[in-house]
Amino acid sequence: MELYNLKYVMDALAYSLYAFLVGGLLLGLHRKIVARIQGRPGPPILQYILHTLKFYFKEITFPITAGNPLYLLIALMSITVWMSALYLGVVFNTSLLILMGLYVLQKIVEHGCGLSSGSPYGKLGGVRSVFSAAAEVPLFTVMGIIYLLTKSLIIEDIIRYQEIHGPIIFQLPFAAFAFFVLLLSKAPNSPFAIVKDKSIVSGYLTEHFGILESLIMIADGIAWFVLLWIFLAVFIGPLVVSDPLMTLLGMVVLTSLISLICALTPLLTPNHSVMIQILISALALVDLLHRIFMG
Amino acid sequence: MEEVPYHLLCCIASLVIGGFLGLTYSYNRYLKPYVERCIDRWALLSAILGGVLFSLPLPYGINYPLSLFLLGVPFGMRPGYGRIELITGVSIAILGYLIRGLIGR
Repeated sequence: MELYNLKYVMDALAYSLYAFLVGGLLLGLHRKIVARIQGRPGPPILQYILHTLKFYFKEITFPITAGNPLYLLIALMSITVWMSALYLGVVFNTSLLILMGLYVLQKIVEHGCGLSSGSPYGKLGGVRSVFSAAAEVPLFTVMGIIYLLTKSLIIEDIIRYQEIHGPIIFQLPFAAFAFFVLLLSKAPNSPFAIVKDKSIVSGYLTEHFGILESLIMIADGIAWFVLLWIFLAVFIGPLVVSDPLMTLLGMVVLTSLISLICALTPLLTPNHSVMIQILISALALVDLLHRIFMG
Repeated sequence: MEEVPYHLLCCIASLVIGGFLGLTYSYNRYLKPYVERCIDRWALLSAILGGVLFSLPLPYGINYPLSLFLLGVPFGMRPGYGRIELITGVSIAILGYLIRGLIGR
């Protein structure tokens, strides 16, 4: 029994490492593609993982303005949120509702991270993270649309539905688009990345450095892996997620597509970003109501 | 429940470790920040070996992590360096994989 428990712990750690390495490499690939499109050499693809390791071993001090213990605990909360999302979503294929709850927790992390630092840039990043919650509004409607079609919000059931009826992306293209915009809003340098806008230095991350920044970067790597996996599982299904190698390929294709969009579009101002996301939510809501009333 | 893809984890970890070695090596070896069309003989050797190993049927599928480790050296080199070497290695790997697939039939 104890050996079994040890095996579960090993499996959990191995999956986290796998998710971080894949997520980190994909975020590195993202930076490389954006740089190449903009005519720059760009950093090596390994740069994200190298940065994470570098920060992990750097000395840590606490800014005089930092509000402890929130300043310290928020980095741990960030990694807890995304590791929970990894296990509940990717490993156990549980409900999309739980994942949405975790995604909302991420907003608290971003907000708390910015406010606890005491820096004006961090605070502005924290406030913008509340605005950027507009990106999650389409998620509510997307889940409603998926529920109407599959009669379940459990990821395992949604994958099984697609085994019989084919990928949902062809049946619910607008829902897939709305979810894709959510992915886009999480990508660095995206038109919706108002929380990490360079005009506010590094946004909510400005005053977090050393091991705390490293932990947040690990969480961001895992987050990227989880979000891409959920998109592939919910909209393309077993065609891609039944084979880990195909999943990796799907993630590379999605990341490349997102990088292309990020490289070719300017960063929106916070009000424009929110307006566009609310517009997408409204359209998704119309789609949902149409499906409810027209069958 | 999703199984942990240990084999893929080994492959990716090997690629990353190879990349670290490549980056360290290229920073120690070259001083100029960005040079194109420069071929490093050790990186080329590593890439060719990696490409050949990719399609060699070794026990427990150990050829894949080994191959990715060797391909990781030119892959991780500083910007501008290691491109031709990596393209050569990946081309050999793809060619070998296709030939192996044809022979397997």
